Amino acid sequence: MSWQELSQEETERIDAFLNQDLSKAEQEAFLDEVNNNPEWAAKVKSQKLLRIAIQEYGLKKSLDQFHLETKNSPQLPPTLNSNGKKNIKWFWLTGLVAFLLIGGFFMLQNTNVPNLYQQYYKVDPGLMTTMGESDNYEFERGMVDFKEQAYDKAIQRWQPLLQQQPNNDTLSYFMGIAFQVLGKEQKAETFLQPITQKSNSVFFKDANWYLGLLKIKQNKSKEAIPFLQKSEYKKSAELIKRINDLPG
Amino acid sequence: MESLKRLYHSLNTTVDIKQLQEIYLKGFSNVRSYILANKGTEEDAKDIYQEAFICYWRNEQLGKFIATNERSTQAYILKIAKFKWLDILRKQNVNFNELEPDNISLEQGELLEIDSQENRDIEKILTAFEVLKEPCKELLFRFYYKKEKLNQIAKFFNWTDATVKNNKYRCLQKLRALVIEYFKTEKK
Repeated sequence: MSWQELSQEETERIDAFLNQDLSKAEQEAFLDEVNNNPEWAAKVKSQKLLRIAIQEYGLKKSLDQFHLETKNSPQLPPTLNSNGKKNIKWFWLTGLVAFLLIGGFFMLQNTNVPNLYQQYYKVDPGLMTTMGESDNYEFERGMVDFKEQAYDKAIQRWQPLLQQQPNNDTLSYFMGIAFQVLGKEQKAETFLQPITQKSNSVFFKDANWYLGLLKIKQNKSKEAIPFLQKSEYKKSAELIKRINDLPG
Repeated sequence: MESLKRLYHSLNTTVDIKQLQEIYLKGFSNVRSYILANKGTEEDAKDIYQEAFICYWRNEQLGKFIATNERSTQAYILKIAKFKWLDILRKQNVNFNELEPDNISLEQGELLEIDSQENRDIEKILTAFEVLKEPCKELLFRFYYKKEKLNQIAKFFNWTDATVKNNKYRCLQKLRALVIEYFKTEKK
């Protein structure tokens, strides 16, 4: 196939056709020209191939992110391979062991503070990204890192964004969550604290919950109570009761 | 005439990212079951599925595959995945008698048009796009993949709409020049 230079006007006309922005009559005239003018047909084809490659580049970048969502998909059955029976046995065995461990854990647990934190802390799963709708590609890339548990990488991506948008609740909240997972509690608090003051923020309840848990981890259980209350999480009442039952 | 038909069909293809994500989510389970049942691992299932997905999408864009409904798309992706997996197993000298019976033969790869001149051209353009410098890469990515409007791109780069329009053309020219260079190198 011959690759020739295309003028700006030609490029825009082909793009308009491929984006279906032409009227019916213009579209027909375009197709007629493709049919009768091999040089024009070659130009159209070359522009089309360029577009396909660019789109495919984007699609390839999105596939891992698409794939993360398959893990949350109810359509995915448990692993069954040619050794299917063996796997089912392992599935039940693993379940039994997990059951015994969890049961044992609850039977043996005492109500000390680190245990409370471990029992109630579960990292926020992150936001579903679409890699296309948002105009903030870098934020979404960071969210993919976050979901892949590469919290350091996510922080590195989000830090420069936060300098541009210091009041962005979404960024602050997930920075806080990422630092909390990494055990950097003071930094996590710096990001979560301001959101717990904004009752109109969509992250208000979540930030209160995670900050409450942070306080528990820092052995400041009584300070945790107002945050847990504001979180309105289902488990907060039960957790507050257990804090109040702690000795001393 | 054939190319005109293909061009016409390719106008109504799937380019919406959300739609693609939906197709991806729905199709994985079948491919995964097949790979796991035929000596593959989770990692194999993911790799093969992603390759098959790209192949399906590309063939649809090129007008080589025309989806009649969602089931035909899923069946097509599964077919490509099976072909690709069988090809890998064949290279590993796996005894095919141990596999689950299947109705696809390796010869069908040709029918799926996995290997064609157009595909080789696209591979070259992809290589050229990889080396294209910023902001060209980001600009073209936003315009052609994310389908952003000129004013959205202008906002992102802090340019005017007219600058986006001109830069988009210049960036395409740069990409085109790189591709032409690749083709020349190939001919030598």
